[in-house]
Formats: sequence, C-alpha cells, structure tokens
Amino acid sequence: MAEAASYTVVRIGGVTQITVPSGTDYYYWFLDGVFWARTTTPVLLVALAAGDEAEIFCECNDDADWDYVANAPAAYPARRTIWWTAAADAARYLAQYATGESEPAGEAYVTIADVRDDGSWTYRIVTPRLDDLTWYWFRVVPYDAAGNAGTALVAFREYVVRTPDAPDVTVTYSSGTQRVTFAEAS
Amino acid sequence: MATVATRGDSLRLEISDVEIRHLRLVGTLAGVAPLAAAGRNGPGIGRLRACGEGDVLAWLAPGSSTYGAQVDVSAGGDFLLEDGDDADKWLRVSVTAARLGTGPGETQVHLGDVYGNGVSHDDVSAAEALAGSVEIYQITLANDGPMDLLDLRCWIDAAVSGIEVSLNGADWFTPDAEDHGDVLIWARLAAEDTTTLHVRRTIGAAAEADAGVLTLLHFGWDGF
Repeated sequence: MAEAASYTVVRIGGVTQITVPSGTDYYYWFLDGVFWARTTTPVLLVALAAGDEAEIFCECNDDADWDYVANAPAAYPARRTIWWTAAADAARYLAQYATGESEPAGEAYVTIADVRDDGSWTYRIVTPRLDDLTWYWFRVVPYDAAGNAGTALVAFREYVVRTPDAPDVTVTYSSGTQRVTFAEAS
Repeated sequence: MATVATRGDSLRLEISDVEIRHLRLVGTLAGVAPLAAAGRNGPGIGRLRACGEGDVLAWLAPGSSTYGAQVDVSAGGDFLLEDGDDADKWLRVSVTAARLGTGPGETQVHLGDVYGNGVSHDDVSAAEALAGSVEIYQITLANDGPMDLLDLRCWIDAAVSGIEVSLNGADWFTPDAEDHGDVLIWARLAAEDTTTLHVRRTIGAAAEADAGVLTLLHFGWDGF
C-alpha cells in the first residue's frame, strides 16, 4: 500500500476538504477505517458536524480495481454501514440501534435514520460515530403506508473496540535539567 | 444447477437456531437478496453478474478469475451460486423474480469480516486484555442437506491463536491443519441431524487490546 505522503485539511463550516499530493490515477479514501470513496483527483470533501472528528487514510495508486475491502488499513473504525434489501409493501424504514450485551427490548432502540422506500432494491446508511467499549445492536424496521410496523430485521450486533492500549510509559522528572522524560516501560 | 443445502452449504453453523454469518456483505443486484456467503470467500470484493435477460446469475469470489456456473433464477426462490475457481466459495441468495432486472448487469459485492457473531468472536478491549479472558461457546453443526456428511472434520486456521475446539467440552485440542493428528472428526452427520462443537478462546493476561480478533474454523468432509 502507498499511503499519501501528507494530508492538507481545510475546514469551512460543516465541510472538510482533504487534499493529498497528486501523481497517481486513483485515490482510495477511508474515513475512520471504513472505505469512503475512490476519486481520480487528490481531493475529498466530507461533511462533519460541528465538534465531530474523523481519521482519514488515503491510498494512492494506479489500480482501478484495487480491492479496498481486503486491503483496508488496520483501524479502529468508529462508524458502521447498515445495509438492507427492500421489504414487500414497505413505505419507509427506520434504522435503529440499541446498546447492551443482551438483546435489548424494542423500546430500547433509538432511531438514527428514517428512510423512504423509493422503489430501490437496496438501502444503506452510515451510522454516526459509535462509543468505545459498547455492545451495539442494529436493526431495520419496515413500515407500510398506513404506519404498521413489519418484522424488524436485526442486521448485526457488535462490540465496538476503538481504543488501542494506552502506551505503557514511565515518567521521570530531573530537577537538574528541569525536564520530564517519558520512556517505554519494560 | 447447484441447489441450496446439497453442496458446500449443506453444513450450517448455528447458535440458538440462528445461522452464524461468516462474512458481512454489502451489495447486490435488484431482485437478489443475499442470505449467506461462505467464509471461504474471505474478505474482499466479489462480483455478482446477471446474464441474458437478467434472470441468470453467476458469482465471482474475491480474488478469483473465473465466474461460476450460470444459474437460472427465473422461477425465484433460494439458489446457490458457486465461484468458478473454487466451488466452496459460494453465495446463497433469495431471488424475487418480479424485481429482477431485464438485461445483463453486474455489481460489486463487498465481503468483510464479522466481529461479534457469537463464535467467541468479539474484540478484545484493553481491560479484557489486561485481566485475561476465557470464553466458551457451543456451536450447533447442522446438516441441512438431504444426504449424510461423512468424516466431517474441523480444524483451526493456522493464522489465529488462542482458540481450542472440543467434541465434548472437556478435552480441548488445537488442530491447525486438516491432516493434524488432533483434528476433530465426526464419522457421520446424518441428513437433517445436528451435533455440537465446543469452542474456547483464551486471552492471556497482560495481552494487548485488539479491535480485530477473528475465530477462523475450517470444515471438510469426504462426500455424501
């Protein structure tokens, strides 16, 4: 993999522009470890809410068929994609999540997207950033035009681990030099 | 034509009567709802192709160079699509004939690893890693096919560590190849019958946190 040598980030309101050095045919962008887009220009625009943040990774190469799933960078992704196929007679879908190690009761679910059925066969949403060290359950509930709920599809559950080990260091202060020294603990 | 539960997908892994998902999947053609993908496909990008008038499907697994046999799905229902290089890289789909396209088409199918599918499979937090963790799961092996599976074998992928398997939940083994002396063997798993596989994962104390821990098991059998 050839990660971009550098990243230039400009944030204007809710839009963030990331630019990497040019020189290759394709740019594969990962947002929080999840594939986001393939571009032919070294620029990506993403919308981030105020106070939100994301980790960007850009793979630069000349391969139009580069497998961005198998070759995704090691990461601690903070978002998930919920994807489902259309349900018969559905007019809209509520994509929801709940937390807890055991399967939560229906009322525990929180809606994160209300998607209108537009005749498509498949639908997808990307979740907001998820909390670390938390079990998440994701489901999709179809509703007909009269507002009747269909059978909820539990898409998947996952224990989100986003935080790698904190560095194990020792800290020493030298009164002589008035410096603090950090060293990796043995 | 490959009928579901007569080929590589005869063996189903279940917990509490729910089939374990081997891979996370995103992407399909109109009218085609993916039900399951063989773990043998591995993570990556596969391709699902519709031929003719859109009612004939073929599957290309990630990294493969040959589409599998074309399957006529015009009648709708459940079908098994196999890769051309390796028939054990299958995709099981449910087809709604009325929603199929009317001509040739092709789409990418993204297959990703699944974390937290029940097979002692959740990731390891820093606290768990520091304290150590031992988890035991019982998996039901179900033969959903009409024919018996003979000399059913189970072993652990050589790339993973900390996993043990057992026939009885008391005697644990770590066979890391099909010809390993400790490979688990069931002489016969009859049609429509089930048996139990015990899986134990041990995270040693003072390990490192890992947001990508996988439990990779292999299964094989000699024939029907």
